[in-house]
Formats: sequence, structure tokens, C-alpha cells
Amino acid sequence: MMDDIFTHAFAIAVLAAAIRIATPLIFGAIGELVAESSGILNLSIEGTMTVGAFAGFAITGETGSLWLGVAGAVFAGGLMGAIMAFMCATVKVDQIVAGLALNLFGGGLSFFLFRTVFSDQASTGMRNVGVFKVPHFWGLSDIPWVGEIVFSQQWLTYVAFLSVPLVWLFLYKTRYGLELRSVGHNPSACDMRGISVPQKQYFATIFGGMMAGLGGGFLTLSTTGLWFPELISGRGWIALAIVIFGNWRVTWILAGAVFFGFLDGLQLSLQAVGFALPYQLLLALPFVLTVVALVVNRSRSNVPLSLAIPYRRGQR
Amino acid sequence: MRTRLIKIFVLLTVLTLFAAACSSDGGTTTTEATDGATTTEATDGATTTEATDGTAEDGPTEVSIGLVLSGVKEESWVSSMLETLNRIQAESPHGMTVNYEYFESIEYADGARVIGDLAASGKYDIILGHSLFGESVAQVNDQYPDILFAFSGSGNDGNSGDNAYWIDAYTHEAAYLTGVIAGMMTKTNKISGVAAFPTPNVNAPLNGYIAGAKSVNPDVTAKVTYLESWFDPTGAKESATAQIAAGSDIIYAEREGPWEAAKQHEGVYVIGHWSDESSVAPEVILTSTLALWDPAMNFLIETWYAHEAAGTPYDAPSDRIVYSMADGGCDIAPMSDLVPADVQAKVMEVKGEIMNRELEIPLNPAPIE
Repeated sequence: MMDDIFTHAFAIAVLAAAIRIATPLIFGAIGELVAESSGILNLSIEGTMTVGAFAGFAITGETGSLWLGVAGAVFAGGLMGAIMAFMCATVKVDQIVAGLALNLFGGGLSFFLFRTVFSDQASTGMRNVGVFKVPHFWGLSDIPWVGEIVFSQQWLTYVAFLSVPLVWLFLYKTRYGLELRSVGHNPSACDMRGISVPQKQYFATIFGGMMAGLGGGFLTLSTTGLWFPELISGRGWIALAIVIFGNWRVTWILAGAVFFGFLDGLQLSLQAVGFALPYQLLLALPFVLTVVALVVNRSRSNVPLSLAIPYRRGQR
Repeated sequence: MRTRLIKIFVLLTVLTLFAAACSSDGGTTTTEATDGATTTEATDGATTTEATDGTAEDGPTEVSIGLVLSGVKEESWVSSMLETLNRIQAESPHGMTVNYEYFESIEYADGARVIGDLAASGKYDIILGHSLFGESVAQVNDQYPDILFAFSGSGNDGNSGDNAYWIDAYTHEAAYLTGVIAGMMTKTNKISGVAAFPTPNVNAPLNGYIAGAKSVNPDVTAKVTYLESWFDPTGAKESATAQIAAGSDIIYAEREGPWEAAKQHEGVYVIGHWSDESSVAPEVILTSTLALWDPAMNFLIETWYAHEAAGTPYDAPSDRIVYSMADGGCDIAPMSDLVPADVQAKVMEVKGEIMNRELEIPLNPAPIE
């Protein structure tokens, strides 16, 4: 059995799986980081991913085009973000309540639409709208190790990994990004300087929603082509945990997502070779580590200081 | 003040939309059922029994079945039950019209409330919780003695009796036949399964599958991945990918999803479970194990009919009502052309032995290490 584990095939399988599994987590967590940077704690990632996945599934099913489906997932995610932004930045309701409500709303609405648009009473067959083919890069995909791990992934996986440096550049190297982060820390100071707090928060939350929608789109259009209400299976909540685990830093969030993907991929591969380690332990480890990270980082936390606190001009 | 009003308005709007989305989940509105939770409905049931007291021959002409489902109807566990009901509808026992209505994605915690609401509505003669709804039924069945309650699947022990019936489908014999296919077709001598949780209803068919494979190919080794989730096609695909990397070339898909991994690898095939899943990936699915609830459902309908027409009291056994393959409790779906003719012939031969009870496949609900 040990012979099965210390093989090239095993290592390649685990590492390639880590990157695949990390993809929707990166979309969700990086989007959430931008939203939280502006002070909006958007707990509706799971519901937004569900809506995004449904939009991708439905549009691909109707048009036959996977890329139109991806566009639909992004658009639907953005709409969910816009609803969240309206509730938090305009009418300033409690962000926790709004986020949780939107989760329920997203799940219920997409299931309702699924039933009205796609299914008749008597049919029991699953509908499969198809999935993206894994692209083959001539030359690159054939390199041993690297080719199999890095250059045999879905297009959207590259988009996810590319989004990480782009978001970092945006948040830390542009004026707009600086203002956005300032809004998350000290909205009244920004307001005094003439920076529109709601405008930044709308932008950040809609962007976060679009990313989550894209993550949901990946989960249907790049994996199985199916849609069900439970499709996301808690990945939105894991993305939220990764933002905390990564201490609101882009690089650590990327590392966290890949690490979570690695643990899951390792657990699946260990089960596949029949290794006797209790795999439930590896399934629970990400959440244990998130709690540990919270404790360890308590004095050096990068949490936006005004996170989840609605900003009202002239009140404090 | 104005902002507070707007806030309340927004929250109310969201909640209303959500409620609207929820109530349309099942096909009919559950709110009606909740309203009817008064005693008027209970007397309804009493009058129907009185009416049938006189003439025993004039049985009911219609039976209404309410189904409480833990998942959505396309999930193969659920669709196996709906396909059974569609067949019974067509057969029309005693010339009756068979109506059924289902309520999808009901949480176990809500089971007793939903089943109680359906019973109180007075619209259903038989109410079936399709999954771990045994305890939910046990909480309400006493209040509605004329309704036949039922629940299905393993893990429902200790909840049946009186008008609460426990039905189950054992699929290990059909799974054994799919194992014969796997054992003869595997080139790597490694086969695998992707399953939900290590529970008896999940383990038994997998053990049957492995036993079937070993019966024709003693060199076969088998590994099973548990997803720790009832529904996660992405995780199931990922598990299957790991199994393929570990050398497996036949995968038993106890859950939806593994066929997508098989499609990406030459020479890897999949066996479906609960319902015929060939339509979703005909290029890799060899056959499917079918759970046939027909004899168990027919038993329930007959029991209800006898109660309605002749006043035979309900007396559910404390154990589950389950039928073997020879009695029509399970089967395999038509085999794909991907299965070579000699393998198909061997499968039909073994099936014949099971059907005339020469060969007995033991039920083994132990988790696979």
C-alpha cells in the first residue's frame, strides 16, 4: 500500500486535484476579499454561487454555448452582489442578516426557476448541458509532472489563478483600490475627503458577486454539467473561511485555497489506494486550521476595521 | 424613521420572495396543508371508513399518495421511487386511479411537521417519507389511524408498527451481476466505487458488486471512496479521477458524477445505481443496478385497499418489508453494447441462477475498508 502512495502517479493526481478543487474556492474567496475590503461582509457566497451555477446551466442549456453560460453566471452573480450592496450600502440593514437572507433567497429562487423552466412533472431524467473540454497546449501539456499538473487544467482554472495577481494589483497599486480599502477601514474619513462610500461598496460587492457567480459557473460547466440545489455543497462557506484563514491577504488566500484543495485531493487519493487513515480527519482539518489561524493572528489581524458596520454619515 | 421603514420593507420583500420560492418547491403549496391542521380533517377520514362499512365489494376507485422526498426528483434514489409509481399508475391496481404528489428537498428536521401537515390536509390516503423519515412518521401516525404511513431505506429501525410501515429495497443481488461485468471487463484488475456514507443501504450493493467481480476474477482488488455527502457530483467526479489515477478502470457510481471523469479517460467505464442512468453518459455507462420498489409499493396499496374496502386493520411488522431479486425487488438495466457478448451471456446465466434461487447472494452491510 505504501508503494501505491510514493509513486509519481499518486503525487501528480493529488497536486492536479488540488488545483482543480481550489478553483471555485479562489473565485469565491478573492471576490469576498474585495467585498470585505470595502467593509461589506457578504455572507451570501454560497447562495450567489448557487445562482451563478444555475444561470450558467440554464443559459448553456438554452443556447448550447458554454461561454455564454459563463457570462450568464458572472452576470447573475453580479446581480446578487447588487442586491446585497443595495441592502448594505443604501438602506444599511444588518449585513449578517442580509447575507443569510440572500443565501436562502438564492437557493430558493434558482430551484424555483429550475422547476418552472426545465422540468415536467413526470420526467425523472437528469439534464446534462455538457462541460468544457480540457485544453491541450501543444508541447506544454506533454511535459512530465508540470504538464500533467499545471497545463492540463480547465480554462476557468487559469482565469481563477490569473485573477489573484490582478486583484492584488488593483487593491494595492491603484488609487481606486486604495480608496476602496480605506472605505473598509475608516469610512467617515473617506467621506470627509469626498470619496463616495456607497459607490466603492457597490463596486466591491458587485465584483465579489460576479466572482462567486463565476465560481458557481465553474462547478457546473467545468465539472459535471448538472445542476441541483445542493450542487455547491458548502464550498461558498469554505471560501468565507479561507478569507479569514488568509488573514485578508491576497497571497495567503491563494495559498489557503490551494492548501484546502490539496487536503481534499489527498484525502480522495488516499481513499482510492485504500490507505487506512481516517479520511474524516482530513475533511475536518480545513475548519480546524481556520480556527487556529484566527487565534494565531488575533494580534496581527488584517480585518478591515469597519467590516460589517453600516456607515451612516454623521453617526458614530 | 424613513430609512427604518425602507429597511423593513426591503427585508419583508426578500422574505416574501424567498417564501414564494420555497412554497413552489414541491408542486403544490404546503401552506394549505398547514392551515388545515385542525380536527375537521380528522373527521373526514372517519366518514370515509363509515361509508365503506356496508358494502365491502365496492372498494375505493382512487388512491392518493403523498411523497416526502429528502432530495430532488432527478437524484437516482428519488427517481427510482417515482419510476415505480409511474409504473403502478399505468397498471392501475383494482382499476383504481393512482395519484401521487411529491414534496422535494425536505430536511429531516422538518419531516414530522411536513408529514403531519400532509396528513392533516386530508388529501392523502398513503403518505411515504422516502428516506430517513422513520422517526418523523412515528411522531404523527397515531393521530391519523386511517392513513397508511410508510418510510423507506436503512436506518429507520424501531419506528414501524400499527399504520406505520417500513419498506426497503435490497439491491445487492443486481449489484452482484454488475460486478460480474466489472470482473470480466477490467484490464487492470482494479475496480472501485464512489459512494455516499458508509451506511448499510450504501455498503450492501458495493459489497455485492465486489463479490460478483471476485466470483469471475479472483485477482480483482476493489477500493471504495466515501464522499461523506449524499449529493456532490463535483466531489464524486474528483473521487473517480483519483480512483482512475490509482489504476481503476471500472467504477461503481453509487452517487451521481463519476461518469464525467470516465469520459476523460480512455477505457474507463461506469456502472450506475438506483435508476437507469445510461441516458446521462451512454458512452461510458455499462449498465445500472435498479432498485424496484414495485412489490413493496404494491403491498402498501393492497394493505390500504383491504383497510378501506374490508376494514382490515393496519398491523405493520416491526421489521422492514423488502423483496429479493427473484421476487422483483431489484434488477439490472439493459446492458450497453460496450459490454461484450460473452460477458452479457455470463451475466444472464448468473441472473438465471439467482432468479430460480440456485444461487444466493449474501447481504453484507459492512463498510468496505
